[in-house]
Amino acid sequence: MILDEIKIGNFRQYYGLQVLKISKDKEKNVTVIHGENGEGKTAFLNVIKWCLYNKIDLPEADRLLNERAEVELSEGQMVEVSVEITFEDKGIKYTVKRVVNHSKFNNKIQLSGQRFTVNAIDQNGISEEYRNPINTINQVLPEKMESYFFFDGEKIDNLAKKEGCTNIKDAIKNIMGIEVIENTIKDLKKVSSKFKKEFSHCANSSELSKYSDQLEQAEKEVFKEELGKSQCEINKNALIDQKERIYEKLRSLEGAKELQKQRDKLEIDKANKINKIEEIDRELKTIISTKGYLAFSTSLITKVEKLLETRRQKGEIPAGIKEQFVDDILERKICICGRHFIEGQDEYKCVEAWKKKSSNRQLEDAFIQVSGDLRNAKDKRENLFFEIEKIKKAKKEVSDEKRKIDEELDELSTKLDNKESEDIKELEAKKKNIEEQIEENIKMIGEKEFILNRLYEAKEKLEKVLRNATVVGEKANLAQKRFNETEDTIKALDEVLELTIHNVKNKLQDKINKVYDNFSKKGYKALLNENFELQIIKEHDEQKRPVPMSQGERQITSLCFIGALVDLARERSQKETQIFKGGIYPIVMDSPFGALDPVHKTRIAAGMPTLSHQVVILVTNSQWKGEVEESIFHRVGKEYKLINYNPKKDQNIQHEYTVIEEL
Amino acid sequence: MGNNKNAKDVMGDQTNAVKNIISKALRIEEKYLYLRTQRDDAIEEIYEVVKNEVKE
Repeated sequence: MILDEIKIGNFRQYYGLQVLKISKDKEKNVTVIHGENGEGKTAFLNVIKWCLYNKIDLPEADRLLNERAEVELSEGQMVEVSVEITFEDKGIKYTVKRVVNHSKFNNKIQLSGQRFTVNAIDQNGISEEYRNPINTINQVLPEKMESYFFFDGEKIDNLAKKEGCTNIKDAIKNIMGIEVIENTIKDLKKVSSKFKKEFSHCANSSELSKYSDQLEQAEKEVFKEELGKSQCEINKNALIDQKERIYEKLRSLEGAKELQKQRDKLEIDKANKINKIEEIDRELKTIISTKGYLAFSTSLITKVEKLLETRRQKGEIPAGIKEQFVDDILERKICICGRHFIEGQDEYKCVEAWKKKSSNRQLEDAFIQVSGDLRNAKDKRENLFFEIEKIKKAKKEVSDEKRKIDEELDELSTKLDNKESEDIKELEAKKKNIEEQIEENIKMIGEKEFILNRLYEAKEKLEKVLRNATVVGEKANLAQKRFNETEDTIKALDEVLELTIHNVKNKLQDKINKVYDNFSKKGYKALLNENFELQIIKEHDEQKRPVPMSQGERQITSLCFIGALVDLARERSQKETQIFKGGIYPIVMDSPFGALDPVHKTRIAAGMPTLSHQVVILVTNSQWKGEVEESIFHRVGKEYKLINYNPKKDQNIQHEYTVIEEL
Repeated sequence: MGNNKNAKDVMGDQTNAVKNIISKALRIEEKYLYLRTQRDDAIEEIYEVVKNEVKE
């Protein structure tokens, strides 16, 4: 998608017809739109979302018509609210237009029709109007992905928070068209259920029908519990968002500002300690699963040792005489004392009898090997306890540090509770209530996971029974075969899904780091860990311990993820794929420099043009002037200013409105 | 799960019937992706695909 032109007609603050050209210059790929707060920056972001997806994320979302246009409308007349976006994608030039007509009757504004059209002109100049415009737009840029390309720059740092991992996983799924695979699995399960019913019905066996019913029941319960679990996860994330909003308010209140600042720092420390504890637990699990058997090996080691010792004392192993040595004497027919003998003589038989007391090479080697292994196992066993002790000690240390942080956080909370301001008290009480609900949801997620694991096990057993059941009759046999093939298909697709997500994650990891380099922070690198969480680590830290992130750092890391996503989509568009074809996408960001200090402003501004082939940023004058302008001006291809007419500033103006001027 | 394994390897291990079902079912789902009200049609089409792929 290469944006060309955006025409806005009477949409929200924008009066009349406003036209913007987006820079398509490769070197000067940044388009800047200057505007102060309330002048229409966020409305501009919504211009794109409304036109393409009929989505509006603004207060009074159903009020589209510009106030001045509304007042100027005469009785019985009609006016259009419209947005038209022209862009190019894979050689086709698209014009997308959304229009809502407004008419005035009896001094009231009424909606009088709307239309959404997508017209295209291909490379041969042939034009076409698409019959299913929603589908067409979704094929160019799926609605589920728009939030990664058109977003509020200040809120984007959420991706780099612990709870952002769900969004990251979703983004990966969407960019790879994984929704199609997920839907296929979902529908194949229903198809499998149909064959299962057919086959137990045709088999005419009460036992098979019983298993089939039980499996059906288990599937229903799995569905219910999975749904419940995902609802708890959604609730938990929404509550975490609410808590963050309370923190934002506390950060701006005079009496709470300083304490909240301390709390922010402590919570980062606490999150790091929790990460560390989780890491230690993982290490402990690995040790127990790979070496845990050694703990129970004492009696076996003692038994084998005793057995070997008894044999050794009897002179059986290792034997004094080697089998090969006796064979050589018998072959040469000369004894070690020098006497010659002939086969069958008493002397020959006497030497031959030594063979019974001798041992063969393999047995000797095995004896040496086992003796060595036993010593080794004993050492390893001792070492295992030593390692476990060390890990437990480390966990206790980190847990103690975490407890101290918890105590400090409690103290801070009490201090905020004791403030005279009712606002602060109320916010603190709300925060405590939210935290309790978060805990409750975490507990429920754990419970549901436990139930689900038991259900998965039961389901697998029942599936096995049905799959391997002996059935009589051609029809039943065929239905069983179809059931089995469908189940195999589901398993294969499940595996494909998991592998795809992980492979894309690894691919994204490399890309994120490449993009992170453009935001220049030497000695650090960005990491997308196993749980799909974005982290920053020191480059040479083998243990990959995450470094605490400030809001600015989180914003940078999140932008790197988006940059990597853009790159992945572009790469995908160059490959022949069966599902979602990918593409090249612009990035449109509202106020990305809002709450940043000068250092982070400079870093973000320097890296921003590299995120995509087209970057559109909406900024206030104070955000732009200084380090941002210095870092980015040489990459600016187009520059516009939102001119706001406001009755508060000029008494000759009756209604507030905005127009766009090119600079 | 081996780190070096990819989706192609998994597909390579499957029978022809499974491979065909996957490829046809994905195409059907792609067709219905943005037509959320027609889920039952997608299921019915996939059901027919399996029936045709496993005939005896």
